[in-house]
Amino acid sequence: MITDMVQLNIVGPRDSYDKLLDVAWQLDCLHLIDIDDIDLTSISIPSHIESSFQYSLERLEEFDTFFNLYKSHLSTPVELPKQLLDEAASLQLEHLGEFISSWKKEKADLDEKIEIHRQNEGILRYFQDIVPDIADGSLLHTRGIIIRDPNPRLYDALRTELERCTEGLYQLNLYTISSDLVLGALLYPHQFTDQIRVLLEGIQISELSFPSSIAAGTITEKIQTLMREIDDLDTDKSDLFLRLQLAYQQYLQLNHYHRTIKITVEKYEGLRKFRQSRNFTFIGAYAAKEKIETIKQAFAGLGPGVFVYEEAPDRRAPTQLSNTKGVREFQIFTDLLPPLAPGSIDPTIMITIFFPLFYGFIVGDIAYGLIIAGIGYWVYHSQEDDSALHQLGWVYFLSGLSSVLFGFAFGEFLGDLAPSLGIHPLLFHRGHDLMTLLLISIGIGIVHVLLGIALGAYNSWIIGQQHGFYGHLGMLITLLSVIVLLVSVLGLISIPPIIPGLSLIPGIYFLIRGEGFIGVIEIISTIANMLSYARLMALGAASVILADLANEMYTIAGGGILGIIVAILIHVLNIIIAMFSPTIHAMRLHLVEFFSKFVEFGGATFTPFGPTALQN
Amino acid sequence: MEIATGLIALAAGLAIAIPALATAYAQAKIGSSGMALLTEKEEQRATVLILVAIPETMVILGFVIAVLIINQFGGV
Repeated sequence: MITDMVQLNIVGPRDSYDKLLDVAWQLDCLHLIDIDDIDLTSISIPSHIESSFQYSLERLEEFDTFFNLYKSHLSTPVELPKQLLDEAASLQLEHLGEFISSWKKEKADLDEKIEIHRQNEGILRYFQDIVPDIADGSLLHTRGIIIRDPNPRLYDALRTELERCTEGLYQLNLYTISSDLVLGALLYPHQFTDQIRVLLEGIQISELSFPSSIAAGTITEKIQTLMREIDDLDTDKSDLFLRLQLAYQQYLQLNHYHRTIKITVEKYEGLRKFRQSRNFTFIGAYAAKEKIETIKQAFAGLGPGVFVYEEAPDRRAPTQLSNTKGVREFQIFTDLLPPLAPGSIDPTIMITIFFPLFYGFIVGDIAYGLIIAGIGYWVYHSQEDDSALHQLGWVYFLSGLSSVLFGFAFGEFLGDLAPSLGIHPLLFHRGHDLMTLLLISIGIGIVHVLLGIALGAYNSWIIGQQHGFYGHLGMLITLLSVIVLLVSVLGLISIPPIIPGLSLIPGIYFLIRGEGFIGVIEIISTIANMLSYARLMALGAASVILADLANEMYTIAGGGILGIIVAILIHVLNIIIAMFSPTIHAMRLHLVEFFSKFVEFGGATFTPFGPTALQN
Repeated sequence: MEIATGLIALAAGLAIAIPALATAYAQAKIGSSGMALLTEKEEQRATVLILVAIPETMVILGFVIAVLIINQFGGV
């Protein structure tokens, strides 16, 4: 239901605005509004709040992004300091900024060195297996080469040229490292060294070269040196992260400071809605009716010069939904809607009743229902209260139970396995009687849409909207007349067609009186809305046919373990589909077909001035 | 008799196939536009979800018509 609101005017001495601000913030239940009065002036936010803190906020947000990148390497202390940091915080801010810049550079250098060392180590290990020694300076007839962007034509050209240069006295072994890197070991007599060097330069093939620290020595020695250096670099990297951890502690303290600044700025933002005359400060606000006494007592504590008086809320009043546990979880759907207008009916209770019914009607299988209810129950209890998943868990739990009930009605357990378990349809089998399923679906649509229109008429009556009331009433009478006329013409009831025919006259009269001639056109779209509920039958039939197919696949796959695996896979697929498709369509039937008949949008969401709004 | 049965099956198939193509075309357009919208206004996700689901009415009604064709003329 929508919480009853009152409009409050709070008046105090001109110089008491900061005390009024404190009380309003602490109350955390006032929705501040702008007072439109040309004789009143607004209060500006203190300059030290507005400008000097802004810089700190921006820097801290930059740091926030940076530390999030390395969150997995860092540990968070259990307790953060309670007290606010002093002016030294701004100095720390600068130091931290400088540290982060130098740390990022140092880490990039280290990463690059480690990567090059590892690459060299890999290359050397390849050569270790085929060449005992390639770079100690004495065996010049062995060369390591690197071919980047290799292709077969290049290999052919290289071999042809080597054949020519060395008169066929060479050996070339190639090793593919990756699609764009090939290593080669080239062996040739000493006297061809110069020709080979010129040849390799000519076709842009680079020789293998290593850092000066491993220029000398055998391959094995080079590898050992490289591994030692890699160990040293890894140690340097660990030290680097130790320093980052220290900086992170500092950042967490500053972040605490950040949050305090945000609260302060948010609080002082409230001053923009305060107004002042020569002698007084005024606050305009909306609050829940049940909070009035608390609010009055809090402001009375400021002394005899502060008054709180109330007015009836106008059409600008914000709306706040307040539902009991069990229904509140279904606000996950109503929260998707634009804010409701004051005086509108809260549709949450309606979706709590009908959503699980529609969902159950579509899924309609005992086993599927039990699995979905089980998943929903687990999610509901494993997630924090008021989280979206917690709410969805409850929705699926109820919807799963509803599916179990409809499963008994349609006699389905994993599709057509029910008869073998002694379960028979209480109503009818969906897969065998699609026409009945279709008629029931459209029947549900007619009842649901007419209920929506009736609620719309009731709501218009309550809030005194005469046109809205006549429009809804006219639509209700017209549609009922059309339906009865149709049923009568088909001979399904014994009422003469003239009676519903005549009742069309007042229906259309009220419709035109309420909504004009456009209302007559609306009849067609409302009938289309009713037919849209055929999706209940279509999705339900698809679900049961897929379940039957899973069982049939067991036989086709030859039974046994393979058959069971195939059947389980298809049933799992069907359950996954059942978690999504019926949800979207049951939701759509509410949001498009049902709510459009009685829910009024166009209000504002209730936003309490205080720490709660900041948390959200 | 066999030709008539084939035509009934063809009619039922077309009753689903044509709306399915239309639905796919509409959902592709709405879906891509919806994704573009969500990159800038994430709070519009509910509207996008509903808009994407709206063209499905066509194929669902196509399925209903197919069932009616088979029921009325196919002797199923």
